[in-house]
Amino acid sequence: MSKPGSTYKVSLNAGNLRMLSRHVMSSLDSRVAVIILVVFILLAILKPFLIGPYPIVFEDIHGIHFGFLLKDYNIQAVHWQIDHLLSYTPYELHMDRSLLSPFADYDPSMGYSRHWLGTDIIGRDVLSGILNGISIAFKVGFISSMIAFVVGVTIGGVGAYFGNIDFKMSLWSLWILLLVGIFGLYFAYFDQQLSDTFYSINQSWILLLLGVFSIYMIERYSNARALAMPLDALVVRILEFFKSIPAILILLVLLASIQSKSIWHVIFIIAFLRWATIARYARAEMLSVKTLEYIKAVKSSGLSDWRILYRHALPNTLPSVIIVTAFGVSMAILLESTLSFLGLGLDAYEVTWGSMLSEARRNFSAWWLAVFPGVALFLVVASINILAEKLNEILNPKLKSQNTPVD
Amino acid sequence: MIPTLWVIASVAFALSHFTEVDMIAQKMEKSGILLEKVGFDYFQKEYQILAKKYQKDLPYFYFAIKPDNYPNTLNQISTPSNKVMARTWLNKGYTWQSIQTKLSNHIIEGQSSTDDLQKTDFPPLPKFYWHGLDNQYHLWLKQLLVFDFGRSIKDDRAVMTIISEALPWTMMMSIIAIVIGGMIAIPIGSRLASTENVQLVKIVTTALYMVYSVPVFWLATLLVIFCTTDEYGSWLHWFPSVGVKSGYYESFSSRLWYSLSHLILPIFCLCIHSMAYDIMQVKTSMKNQYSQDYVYTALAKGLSKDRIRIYHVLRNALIPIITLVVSSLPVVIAGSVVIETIFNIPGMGRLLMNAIYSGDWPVVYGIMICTSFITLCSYLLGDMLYMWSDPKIQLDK
Repeated sequence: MSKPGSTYKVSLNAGNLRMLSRHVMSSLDSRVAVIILVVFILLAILKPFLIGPYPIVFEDIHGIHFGFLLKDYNIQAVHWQIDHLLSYTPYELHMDRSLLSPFADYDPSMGYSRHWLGTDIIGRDVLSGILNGISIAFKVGFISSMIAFVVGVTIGGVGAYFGNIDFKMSLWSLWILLLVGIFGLYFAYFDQQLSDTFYSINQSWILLLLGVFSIYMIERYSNARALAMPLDALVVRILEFFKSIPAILILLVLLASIQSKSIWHVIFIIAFLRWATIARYARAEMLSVKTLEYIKAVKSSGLSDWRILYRHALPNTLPSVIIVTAFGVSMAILLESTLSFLGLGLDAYEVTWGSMLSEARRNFSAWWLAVFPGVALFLVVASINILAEKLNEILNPKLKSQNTPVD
Repeated sequence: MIPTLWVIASVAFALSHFTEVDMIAQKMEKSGILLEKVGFDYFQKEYQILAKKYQKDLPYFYFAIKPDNYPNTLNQISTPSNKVMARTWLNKGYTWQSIQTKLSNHIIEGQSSTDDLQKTDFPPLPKFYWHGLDNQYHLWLKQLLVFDFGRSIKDDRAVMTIISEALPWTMMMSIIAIVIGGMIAIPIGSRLASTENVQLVKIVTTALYMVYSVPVFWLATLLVIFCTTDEYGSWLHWFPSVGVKSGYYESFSSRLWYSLSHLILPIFCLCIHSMAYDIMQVKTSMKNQYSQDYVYTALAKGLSKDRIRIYHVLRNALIPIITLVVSSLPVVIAGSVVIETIFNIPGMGRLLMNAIYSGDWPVVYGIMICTSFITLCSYLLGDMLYMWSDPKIQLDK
């Protein structure tokens, strides 16, 4: 990809951003994708103003309160209030209005606000459910991709940069690592309480801190003979193991064995599945970046290894990793919807697109439960995929030669 | 491959013991033996009998490093709540003798005091316990070598039988889907790469991205709602309702024939998503080949475009295509969980979901190990196919 001897650096400056935006604006599909994505992001950001249990701002006998900051609050004797745009929250049940079609007869004399997209079997409003699903989808998608990106690039890049012979630790540090590992795990697992205040798990934290401190001191100040650690071989083995596990199975088994799930469980499990792919790309890129002339030049100027990694080597490995991460965002959103559809994602109490689709499957006559969340999911995933493909066309030099006739 | 398989089997073993699931207690619950109904002595005896039968009263691993006052294995304690209490007391430093005498009486959780327990003379230090070959891990490995995955909790049938009943459905569906997908994707992709009509290629690529972004379970749900029932008018009722006619079939071909009309929709859903991705991959890899010099030479020689496309460019672009085919092989065994759940096909995917919902963990781990095994075999097959397609690639040892 980059020839030895060339300087190749990716940086986020005005020139690159202008090139990206010009490429995106040049075709119709990506313009539509950007507009759709911007609309959805705005809806997610403005969610406190659109739906919520308390009014946006109201004055009470106790004073002025903002609705989205309150949790459990008894509203008494309101002086004035500014209501939300939509009158329903995703969690309100109206058992008397179950399975209302969006085309059902409505006039304002019925005593309730109109359900624009219908209700589900326990009376939850579909429109507010879709808005709730947007914020959950974006949270899960972006945060899990960011975690997978950071972890994957670090592990893959460090493994490839140090290779099998460049990472040296002295024998002392190795022994300390081994002992701290074994005894730390021992004290943490057998949480012995041998006196009223002394828990042995505290011993393992103390041991960990002592171990890290002593390893740092040894590496910094001693001139002991250093052994080469085969870091790259270890990383390759780990990545191979992750590749051969069938992802769906690990996902389902891990999720089904956790009793009470929060959104962070889902985020971390999805990131746990995605980081190996990113690490593989980062490692492949780093192997070719390592041979660049200017890395050798920087090394000979005396910077420490970690600084070279962080400021010079890793940024150059980012192009194909960013592409994979961009596609990973849409895959994470789809994965979260699939999990909620199967009932293994967030709690059944949370309203998200997948759970609405699984309700549609149970009630055949409620087509609005299937069509509208699915359309929202499709729009978000399609926009992200199209924009990721545009990013791919810019950053991937193999495709550049095919698509830019006159550049 | 063998080390990875061994690691996966160990991970399955570890998972099945670190998730807080007590198989014996679940089994007893299912057969109606509850502590309140039958009394403590009967419950304890039943637990011990079942534990001995499923060999759950053995230690976990070959060796262990535990504090001094632990017994050889805690798995011989009869009830799970007793086990938890014993562990808490042992961690506080009481002797095992005193705990054992205390546990033989029926204890209601939370009401016992620790007055009648003796503390050890000296704080417990770590000690190395050697358990020998008589432990659950060794038995697990031994059973795996003969493909015995244990027995299901629900109906006590061998897991291998359950899996082998569900496997033909999944294999049938997936093989048909892969074949149809390949037969459509490779010609379309290669034609897309060789055409000079840039506008058409742009439109088709965008359309393919749209199709690729459609969530499979959404499409399947829409098809099920609209096309399989009479709700929206019988003019839309093209396909029979979900599920397949199960029962005893004489042979593979009779099974396929009778359930074909039920399988059209699932195979369509399976194909669409993978086909969009396949076409894009084929097109990308063939475009890479088209920018090389030998294509100019072939054109200059006077070969027709079709011949160049099929006999020269496609052969050189085979490596990503082989990757695609190989990575869709695990789906043949593992099935597509979502599609089989929606269309109610009794394959491996639906078996996995039902096992997870009902807490039938031996089946889950059996499916996991089978799928990992097939995945590793398919990577091996992929390596051999790479060597066949490109003679410059050799196994580097």
